[in-house]
Amino acid sequence: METNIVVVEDEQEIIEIIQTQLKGLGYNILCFGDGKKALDFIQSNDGKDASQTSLFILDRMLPSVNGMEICKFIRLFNPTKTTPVLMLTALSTPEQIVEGLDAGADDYMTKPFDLAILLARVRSLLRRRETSNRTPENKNVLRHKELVVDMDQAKSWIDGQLLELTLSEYKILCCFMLSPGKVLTRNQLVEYIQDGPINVTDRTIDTHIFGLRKKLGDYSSIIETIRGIGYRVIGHD
Amino acid sequence: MIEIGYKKILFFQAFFLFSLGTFVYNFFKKSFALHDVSSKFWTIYLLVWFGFIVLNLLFIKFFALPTKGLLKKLDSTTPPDDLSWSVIEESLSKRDVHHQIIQSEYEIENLKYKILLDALHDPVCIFGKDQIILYSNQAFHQLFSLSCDSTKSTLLEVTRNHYFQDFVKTAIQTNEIQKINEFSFNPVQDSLKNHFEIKVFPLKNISNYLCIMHDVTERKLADQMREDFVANFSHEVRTPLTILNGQMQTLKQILEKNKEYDNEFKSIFEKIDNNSRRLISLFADLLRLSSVEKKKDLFKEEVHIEPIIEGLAEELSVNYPQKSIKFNFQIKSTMFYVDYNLFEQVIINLIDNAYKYLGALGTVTIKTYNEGTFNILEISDDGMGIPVEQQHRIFERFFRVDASRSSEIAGTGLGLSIVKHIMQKHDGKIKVSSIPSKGTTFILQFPAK
Repeated sequence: METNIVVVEDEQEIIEIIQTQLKGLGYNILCFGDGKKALDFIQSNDGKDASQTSLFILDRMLPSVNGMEICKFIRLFNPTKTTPVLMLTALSTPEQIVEGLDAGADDYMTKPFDLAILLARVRSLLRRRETSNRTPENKNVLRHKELVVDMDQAKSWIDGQLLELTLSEYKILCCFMLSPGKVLTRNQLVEYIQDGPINVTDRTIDTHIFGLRKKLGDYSSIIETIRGIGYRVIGHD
Repeated sequence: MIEIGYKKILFFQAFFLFSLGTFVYNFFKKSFALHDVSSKFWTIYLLVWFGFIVLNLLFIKFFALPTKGLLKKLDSTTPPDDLSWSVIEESLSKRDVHHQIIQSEYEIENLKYKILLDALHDPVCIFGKDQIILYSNQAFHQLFSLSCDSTKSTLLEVTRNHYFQDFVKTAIQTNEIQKINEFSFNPVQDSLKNHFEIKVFPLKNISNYLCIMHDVTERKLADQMREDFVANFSHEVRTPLTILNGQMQTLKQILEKNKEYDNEFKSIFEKIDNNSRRLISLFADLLRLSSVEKKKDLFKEEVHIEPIIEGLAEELSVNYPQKSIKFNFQIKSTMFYVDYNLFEQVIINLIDNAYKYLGALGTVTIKTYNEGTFNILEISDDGMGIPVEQQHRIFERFFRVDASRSSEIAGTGLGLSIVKHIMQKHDGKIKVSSIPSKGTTFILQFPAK
């Protein structure tokens, strides 16, 4: 099956660089220089064309319709709501990045970016899409190398050793395992584990992650901290 | 009349003391038959007694009674005893004139101060403990669109700002000078939306308070323009940098296939790559500094600092694989009242700094403890230290210790400046103590909650 990537970027030179690199990896690239044209494409043919897209790469500051609005539309529009979005932005403060991720982007990269890192992130997001599209034998058993989470039994193991996690640590681990490679903001994690009368805050998340990392031992490096934004579980091959 | 009374008192006192002395002399002489005592003794006794009387009179004349000056003044204004009504009236009118002169002198002084204060561009007011305005200048009237008769209103009625009210309350309670750096009143009250540096001085001798509002709008606008320029410039430069960087990497990929790449192009690309990264981190740091400066309100909260410090020490070690640095944690105070993201930035910059200036082996000690109303964080290393003459400059923008080594140790020269600004935003302090070739200690004081 062909991999189609849509790039929405107003700088022609940057489009050329991305296009050269991604075409070199055998992907089909469709480029748009302004937001309105990209939105027209997504809605065209009742979204059938857009549903064939494997990944959107969006700039934030675009003529006519900005990247944030396109991202929000992609998340609301049925044919594209599960398609990964990578935001490429020159807006680089933590607040701006969190804003982009909360709007529905799966990952972000700030300009200027390293081409090798861009390609790695693209591969990671495409892999996640492939994994979620497959129908696994047991969808409730999640694996990351030797780390296994069984959501039916609510248990997790490393190298066959049972992990003794608190409920919140377990929920966070599930959240990470369900979205490998995706940057999860603290707000998103709070929403995911918030349950009952206990008020979960950003700092509570940090404390849980600190505890989770200690219990994961050598495996703790799979959780990457994105300063001022949140966390990501490094995608696995 | 008072003069007469004063002379009579002196006369009667002298007479009384003389009589008392004579009586005591005769009483002792007769009652105890002290005839044997030589007459010389009694002579000395009487002389001493008279001397005492004279001293007593002099004391009364110069010290016990009202001062000489006052007496003179009374002399000039007090009519003699045998005066007719016309003389008395003349004397009274003389006194009235005197009072009028004093009053007019006061009025002139008052007017001078009023003119002086009205000429000031800065709004000024004087208020009492009950916060009722006793005086306010024209700039104050203009700022709050008041009529000239605005006295007797309270500060809250005039300013309608509860934050300002709390500030004034603190000044009254502490009875010490209080200051706000940049304060803006409600847009309704101050349609120009000016920014003020406000100081309240307690006037201790009259139990009132002087409030001076120095207009810093222009300075703020200039700062704002500078910050915006840095932010926009750093932002705008990202697109061309992306293109340059991207094209360079594409070209590198093409040339890497060439057999001569290692000999001919590798070192060139390494230099371009290093300098490109240097430029990128410079703009990133400039943007970071600008965003710290621009930050108006910190999101302060109780933060458990142990996981942050330990986590960052471990994470940053990845950037220095060739160095073996031992961390020693002595965490006595675990909760700090800080803005989480900014606090993280402080720790990153200081630990990264320690890594940079340590050799292949070294120790970093991180201590936290409480001291009065402060939470203290100390980060020390046993690295190369900072020369004494350069220690006071290390928080300046772009200052690098020993410029000749700047190219050897990567960095933008903005890291410690960012730390200083973050500490200022926290109303905290940062100090450095360093002994060349022995190590450096940064001491950070964060106000406790």
